[in-house]
Amino acid sequence: MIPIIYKILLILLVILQLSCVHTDEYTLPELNPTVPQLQGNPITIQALVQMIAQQQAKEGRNANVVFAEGIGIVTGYVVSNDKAGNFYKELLLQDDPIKPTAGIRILIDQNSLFTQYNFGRKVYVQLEGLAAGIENGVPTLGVLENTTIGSIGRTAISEIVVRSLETAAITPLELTTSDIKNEYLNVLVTLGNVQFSDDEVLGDRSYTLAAQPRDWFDGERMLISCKTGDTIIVSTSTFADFKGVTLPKSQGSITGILTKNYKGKVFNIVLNDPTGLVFEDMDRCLF
Amino acid sequence: MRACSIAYPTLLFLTLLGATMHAQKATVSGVVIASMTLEKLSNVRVHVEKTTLGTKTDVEGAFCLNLQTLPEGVYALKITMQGYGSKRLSFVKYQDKQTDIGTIVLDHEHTQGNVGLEIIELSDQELNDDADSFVTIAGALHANKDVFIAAAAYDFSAAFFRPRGQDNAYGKVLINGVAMNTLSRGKPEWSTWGGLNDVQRNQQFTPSLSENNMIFGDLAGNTNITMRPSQYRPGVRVSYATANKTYTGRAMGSYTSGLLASGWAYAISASRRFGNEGSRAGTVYDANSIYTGIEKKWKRYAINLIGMYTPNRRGRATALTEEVYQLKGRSYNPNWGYQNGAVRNARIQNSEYLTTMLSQYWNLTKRTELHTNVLFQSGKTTNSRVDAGGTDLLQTNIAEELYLGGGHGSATNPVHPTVLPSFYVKETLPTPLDFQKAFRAQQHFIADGQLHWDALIGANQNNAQQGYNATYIVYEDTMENTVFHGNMILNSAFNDRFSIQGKLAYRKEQQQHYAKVKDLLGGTGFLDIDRYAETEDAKTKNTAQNDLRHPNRVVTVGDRYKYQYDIDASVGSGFLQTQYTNTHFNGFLGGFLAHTQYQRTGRFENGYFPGTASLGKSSAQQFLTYGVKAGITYKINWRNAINGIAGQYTKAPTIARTFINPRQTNASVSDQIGGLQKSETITTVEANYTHHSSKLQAKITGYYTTHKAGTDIGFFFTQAIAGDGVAFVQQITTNIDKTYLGGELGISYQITPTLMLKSALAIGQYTYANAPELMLTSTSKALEKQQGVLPLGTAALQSYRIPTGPQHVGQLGFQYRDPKYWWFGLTANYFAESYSSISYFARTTNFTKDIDGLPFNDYDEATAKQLLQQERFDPYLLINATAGTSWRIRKYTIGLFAAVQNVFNETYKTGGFESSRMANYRLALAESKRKTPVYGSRYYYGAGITYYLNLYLRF
Repeated sequence: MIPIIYKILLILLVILQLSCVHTDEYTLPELNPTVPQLQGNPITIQALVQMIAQQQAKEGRNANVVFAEGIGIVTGYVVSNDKAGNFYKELLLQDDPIKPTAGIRILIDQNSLFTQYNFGRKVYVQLEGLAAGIENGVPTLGVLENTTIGSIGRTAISEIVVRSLETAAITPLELTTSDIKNEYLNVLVTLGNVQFSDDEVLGDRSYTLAAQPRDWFDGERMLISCKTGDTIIVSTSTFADFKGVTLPKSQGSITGILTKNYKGKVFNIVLNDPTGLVFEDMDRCLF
Repeated sequence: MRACSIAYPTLLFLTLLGATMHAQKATVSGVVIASMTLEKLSNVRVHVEKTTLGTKTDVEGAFCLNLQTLPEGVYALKITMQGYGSKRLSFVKYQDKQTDIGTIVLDHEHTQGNVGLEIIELSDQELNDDADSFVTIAGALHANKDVFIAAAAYDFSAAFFRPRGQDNAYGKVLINGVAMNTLSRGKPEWSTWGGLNDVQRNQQFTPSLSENNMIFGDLAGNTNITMRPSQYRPGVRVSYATANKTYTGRAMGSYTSGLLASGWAYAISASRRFGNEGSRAGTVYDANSIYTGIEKKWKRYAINLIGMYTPNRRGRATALTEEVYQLKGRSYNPNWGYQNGAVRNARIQNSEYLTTMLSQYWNLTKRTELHTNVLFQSGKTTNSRVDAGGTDLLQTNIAEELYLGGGHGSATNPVHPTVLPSFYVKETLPTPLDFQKAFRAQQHFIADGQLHWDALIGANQNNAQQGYNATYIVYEDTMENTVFHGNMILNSAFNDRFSIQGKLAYRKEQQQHYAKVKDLLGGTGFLDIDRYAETEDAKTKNTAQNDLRHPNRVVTVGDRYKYQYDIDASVGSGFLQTQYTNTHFNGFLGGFLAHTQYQRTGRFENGYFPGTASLGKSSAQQFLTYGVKAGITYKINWRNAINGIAGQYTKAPTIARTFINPRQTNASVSDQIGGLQKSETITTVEANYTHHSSKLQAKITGYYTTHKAGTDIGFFFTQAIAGDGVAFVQQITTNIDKTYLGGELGISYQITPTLMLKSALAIGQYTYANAPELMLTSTSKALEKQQGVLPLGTAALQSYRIPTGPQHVGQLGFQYRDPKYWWFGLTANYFAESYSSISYFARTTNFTKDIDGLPFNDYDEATAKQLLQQERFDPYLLINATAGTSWRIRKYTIGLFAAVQNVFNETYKTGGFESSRMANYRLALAESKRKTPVYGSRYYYGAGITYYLNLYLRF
């Protein structure tokens, strides 16, 4: 009897050994993957924008460039940040972190892009199969949808917009309101010596960026340059986390992306987050 | 030799009067023992053939029958016990002679009884989303020969059949007389004592409200599991099983001493159930169980101490939409993905409880037994999830506190609508590009469709590099529970006719609920705020805080966050029952009274509910409940009996149905409805006819049950409030009435001594009977104008079917038992009339109204009726087969048991529910026009072929 019990126990022990299932502990994958190797001719953002302009000269305002096979790769630095919700399903790149000369907007069907394509990240874009044109007044890259540019599908993103290992420090381009022109669309700029219009900040009024009852989709607020008297609109999405920020009353500077409004007629500045509003104790000017 | 004397209170009375008394009455008595072990057998049926006289042996194996009512003559005494060969002995009744038959020896049939023994683990069920919805009346098969209940326990459980439409919150499971149903949801938590089948085979089942010595009872039936070392057959048992439904392997070993001469008895049992994947992908199963019991018996007193520890960890699956099912099949589970090459399930349920029970059994007199129990149970249950709401606090001199960040839903939900093809073709006229996107989404989903852990970790590592908090973490919703339960049960027989049972019980539960960070997924910390709070002005700026006393905390692994509250619950109850029996009638009358109390204590001060609205004690919720039941059985003759039972009782709402949103507020249902919350009133009548003969056993039942004034609390996200309002809501429905009408039939017919034919049938109609009141509460902006509370009048639920699984079931089967100790059985089981769970919210007037409160322009009643039609699932037929055999080698018994369910791999839906997201006319109409809805109903699909194979050794 006893020997049999031992045999049984032995068998049970063997079975118990084989009965291991995956424990509740998991290992983290490697932090730094290998550097992606993208093959192709390098094309600058500036060249890309020029290609759009050429196509438009030929075929009119709604013309789009469709990129053929083997066309090449565009390199850029991410200057938009959707973490605060002011940008939605779009990624804006400029060609240089310190001395940008051109910028491009890419439409991507994915949100929370900041988790991968963080601010300052150097990325490579595979142009093959994509299309570019002017949408909402700004050079836009995406997928051709009839006659407009649509967003790149989420399943394809990781192959088309490839991250490098580098995240650069971006220096915003210092401009005055008179410097504003189409060349600098989609670029991170700083406008100094500006203040919000009297209507919006003086007296009892203290408007928010985009949380006023009449704000639909975007809140538009007017900034006036103390130097030139020119105005520029600050546009903030009603879905931005910081839409409730009260407009500062003093004079200061704003750092944001230069873009156009939805209809593409008027220049706008769009903030990544409220740190772009640097309004210290500078007195208002009389404009 | 054992003298068998019967005392009557009347005898005593007559003695006092000085009357001559006859101390002796005609009786027949004896003791039943088992052949090999000489162990005294209790619960053996002893019955005088061709009469209605019968009894069961007591714990000493002894019986004594009063023959007073019988005319003089020769009679046959039949002794039967499941698992043993029966015996027949004759005796003579002559005047007042007392006949003692002496010792009766029964031979063990070692093939018998194994059929039912495996039921417990076969019913070891499903890994559905949220509450375990299985019903097990597992022990029924072993406990009695009711064919209908046997079929329900074994063959119907895979289809989520609920007997009489009642789920297991309406049934009681007891261990040694202590009700194990917890107060959270009223259900017995099997995972806290699972994996101990060897020592849980001694089960007694009573259906519905029929007579029960320990408890008033409940509609779905009452199972008492006796776990007393003295009652286990002595020996060693070792088994190994392989299966493919939930776990894939199980090893179990037990040693039971049986009652030793010294009066001691002890038992130990341990098992391990394991598997990396069951019938659903990614469902890991990792469970260990251990039980020890020790008992000391004296002549009239016994004391029993048992302990169980059953830690188990299981990966969960979820219900799927039709679209997902078509693309991926029924074993698809979106909850898992690869992390660094290993399969990791985001939804893991972990349960770890230690249970100890001390019981005393005291035969105060020969006819009165006092049984007391003290149960102490402590442990916790955790359910893990991914939190995609990780943010960073931004404080500038311009802005106050801002929270930036948050991950995207589709990263943590592989079946997020935006990754499925239906989303891209949802417009009325999709463009070619839409179709292209839909196609790509479809291909991608088929090829992949799982969670991308590496991407979540990459995002967190990316954040960490820039000094930001984690966006995604894994956390556990945790409930720690300490249970104390004490009771005293008295069972006294006045004489051979009357007996009385009484019970006093007290149960106290102290629960702690909180969320705990489990895994930072490569991140550095997580900001504890509500990402969805809209904090744009001074009034609302605190709403993002989960705990105002510790704002903007960055938490790490092991920290409690998001919510924390305690629930103190107690129930005190008393039960009284009296039974009467004579040769022609059995009757009983019973009642109970109970007091239930719940109180929540908030440990976090929630930003939406500052002050005492969430922090500190809630108002105490108290419910006083009562019940009465009565039944009568008329024994037509010794083969046939008819029986009728009626009862009415009230049931206090469970904790889950008392507090409307316990993670954020102290508010209870009574606070919201502005009046006392009612207990549910249940009224039931049933009639049965049973027939027992040597070849044929049959039982027919008819029943009618109503539930009145029930409460339900649901949680969901909707886009359909007042036209287009979007919110995450709590749906409080009160005054729900339901009606259950139906019949059951069970037949087993022994065609030949080796071949048995069996059939079971249940036809029911379970419907909602009224239009209950419904209100929504929410902290979302959509209900801001209404201060977060939106009453919606009533929900037109009348005549909709209750989603309790198939309401029509039928079985036909046979079982063959070969004299050479092997057996085989096959059943065909038909299930029909199973309905999808309807959205109550969709059936309020909100369905018809646009933003301004007027009906939608295009509202058409006929179309609305069609949109609100309840979905009925297709009927299906499942074939199940079982077989077994055993050998005897010297004193070792080796046995093999095999069961295959759904032999023909049928595809079927066991249940499902409507989505409340698009729950108004306009949105529902748009959905109905799409080829595939974007937010469709979700279904639970039954498993394909499942098998269970068990090899055991006993000696």
